Amino acid sequence: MTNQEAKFLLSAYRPDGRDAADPFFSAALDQARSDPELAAWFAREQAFDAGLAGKLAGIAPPPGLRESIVTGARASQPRRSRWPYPLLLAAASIALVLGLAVGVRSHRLPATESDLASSALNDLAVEGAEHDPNVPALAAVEAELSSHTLPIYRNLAMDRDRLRDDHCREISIAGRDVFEICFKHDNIWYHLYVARIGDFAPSAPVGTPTFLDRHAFAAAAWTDGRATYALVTDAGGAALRRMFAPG
Amino acid sequence: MQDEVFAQLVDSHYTGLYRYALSLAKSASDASDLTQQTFFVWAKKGHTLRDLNKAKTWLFTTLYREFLRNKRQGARITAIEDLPRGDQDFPSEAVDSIAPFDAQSVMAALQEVEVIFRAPLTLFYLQELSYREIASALEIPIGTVMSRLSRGKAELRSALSRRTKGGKVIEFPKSKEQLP
Repeated sequence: MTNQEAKFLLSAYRPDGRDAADPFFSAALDQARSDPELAAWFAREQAFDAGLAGKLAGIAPPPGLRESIVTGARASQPRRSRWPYPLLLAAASIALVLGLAVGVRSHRLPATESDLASSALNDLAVEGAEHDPNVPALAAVEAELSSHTLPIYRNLAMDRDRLRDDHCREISIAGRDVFEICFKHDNIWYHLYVARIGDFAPSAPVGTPTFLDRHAFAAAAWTDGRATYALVTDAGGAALRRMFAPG
Repeated sequence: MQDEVFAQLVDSHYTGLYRYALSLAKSASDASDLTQQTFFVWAKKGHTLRDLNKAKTWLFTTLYREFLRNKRQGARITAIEDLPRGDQDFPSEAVDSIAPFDAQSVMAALQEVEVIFRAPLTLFYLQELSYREIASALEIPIGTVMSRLSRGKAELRSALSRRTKGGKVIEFPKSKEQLP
């Protein structure tokens, strides 16, 4: 882990020490103990965070808010009444469940190709070491990707149903199902994330990739009219951009 | 009994929720409305939550959803589409001491941070939720929480730095009417 990566993780470490037992921070904390430069940065960061948290704790709600909440909520408690028609109750329950199902789906926050790229990059950064690139059923897809004529975004026809049937890794990004498949191209590992068309609003014209670089990680996202994709690698921006140049 | 549970829940969380709402809504009256609305939703739907230990995260999630819903209705939302491209490092201004600032100045600086970074940043500084719970409350991946915290802190430092330059602290908006 580089100091930059340790800083990235330690940014989420609360200054009151509540996260001290969380193994997620162990490696970064160990590194901060042994690296003087990181230790100095972490001490400054924690002091800043503690100071800021203290200031925020000095903001009091306006007088009367608590009473308004309690009184207002009491007045809005649902009334209990007996339902005399069991069949209607059952029908209403089914309608409610269906309504909720639709409601939950439609309540998703808007998301763009850039969000897909950013989240895919984060996914690789956080979960990268745990990816299993050797799902037997996916061998053909991986081989196709490994030998795909560049640029990668031309004539890429990923079948999401087939990926699901083949037990491709599936994650949720902003509430959308996204498949991730790992493949090697010129001895460099790449990770292709395949989202449903329409789930992520285009950040650029159709077929034009949007790039995102973060240290050694790089991502690009695009839509080709059939699906929305993100390609991510931890081999740097140059390696990623080679995939988008004519072969 | 139900009233007692509700009152306990209010006592435990309304202050934190109000601070979170204030950072999002930028005015005391909107923040009060948002906090009240959150508990109103709890009064209607809270009984569907099976695990009361998750009530805190549920409340923060609900407040954020209500904030987004209100903003959508008011057509003044900074939506996810407005997320700046890339994730370049912001210059980390040399504001390492928070002592010169009062609470209202800090809140005003926090309100200058883009809402997409402000939401996790405020939750982080409230210290009531872990990074995992923040991810759950905002319905985003853990890695995104890290990224937004990192970037939000850089923006916050810049905002604080701007307040020190010129030797004056910009006055904290006291009410909705005073906002530009």
